[in-house]
Amino acid sequence: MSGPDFKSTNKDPIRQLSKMFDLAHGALDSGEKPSPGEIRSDLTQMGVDPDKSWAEMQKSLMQAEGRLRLAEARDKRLKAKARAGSTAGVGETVESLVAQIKGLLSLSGEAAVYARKWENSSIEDLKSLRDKLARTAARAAERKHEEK
Amino acid sequence: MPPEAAHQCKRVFEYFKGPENRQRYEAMVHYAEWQVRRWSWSAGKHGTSLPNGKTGRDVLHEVVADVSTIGVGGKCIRSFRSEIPVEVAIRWIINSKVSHSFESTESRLRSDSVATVPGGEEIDLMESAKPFWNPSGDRMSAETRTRASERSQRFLEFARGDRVVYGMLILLRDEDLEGPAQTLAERLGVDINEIYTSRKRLATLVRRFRESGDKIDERP
Repeated sequence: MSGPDFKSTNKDPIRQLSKMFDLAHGALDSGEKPSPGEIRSDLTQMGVDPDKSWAEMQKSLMQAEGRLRLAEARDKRLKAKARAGSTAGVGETVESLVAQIKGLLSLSGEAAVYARKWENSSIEDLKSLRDKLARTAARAAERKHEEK
Repeated sequence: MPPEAAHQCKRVFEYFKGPENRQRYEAMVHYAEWQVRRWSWSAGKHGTSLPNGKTGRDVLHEVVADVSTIGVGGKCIRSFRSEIPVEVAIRWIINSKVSHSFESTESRLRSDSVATVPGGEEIDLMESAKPFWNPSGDRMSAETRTRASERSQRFLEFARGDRVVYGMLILLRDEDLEGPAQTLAERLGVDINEIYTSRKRLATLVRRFRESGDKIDERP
């Protein structure tokens, strides 16, 4: 073997250590990637339980997927509501608003709290109450969906 | 919610979800664990976790959550461009988090992935095809550099008994020659297969040296 030159240089020691590590672990030649079996064995040696870790990742991905679906559904609903809102007011009467409010109250079971003579209210007040109840009902539906 | 954010989340789910992607996941945990060990070794430290106590596996899980969760403003907590493959993006972010963790404990905190490239231009590494940044002394304290220098010298002594391994380390130190394997084989006058087996012996030496607490006396 032709011996290497042993002259000392003043290089960055941190970089040197890093390169030694890469040399040891084959980071330089991509063709030397470890096999799936070697990876599993390495992980166990490193103190990582591959089965447990995998199960945790799958669970967290499922939760993230559920949250995304919920966000998408919320987006869709808000867009539909915005579209409906652009025609709100057309043809809405005290009677139709009272009917919607009663329908929403029957969903939330809060009829007693809001019991009053709806017909004496202004149309603006009725719209405001109807929108508030609709938001409450939507939130309750979301919570129910999340619990599932 | 911008459609790109939902698209990114779905790409990440597709990449990791389901038994058919398990090997990908394990390879990524492996990568993250090695990154943590690489930085720890290079900074002259003994642990197998980040200074904040997180392991490579913890880092990976955190990264996957960041790139697949919609945050404030309807964007993913951490976004990457749609043309960047999921694997590459996740490796970048792992590398960023690991290096950041070591560098920030050195009070040389980099607030984000922005780096200055030769020519003075500032780029965001997440937005470019530039390779990952590597451990180096310019962002570490003098104390860490000294500790690393001592480790480097002691490790050379530790490996002196293995002719080929020692030769590779000297070529690396003096000529910055790290590969390819064929060149190393030619320079050291050995068969290329000897280089491959020597690398495995080098890995064993690194592990033993670390386990001994950097004690030269315990060399094989």
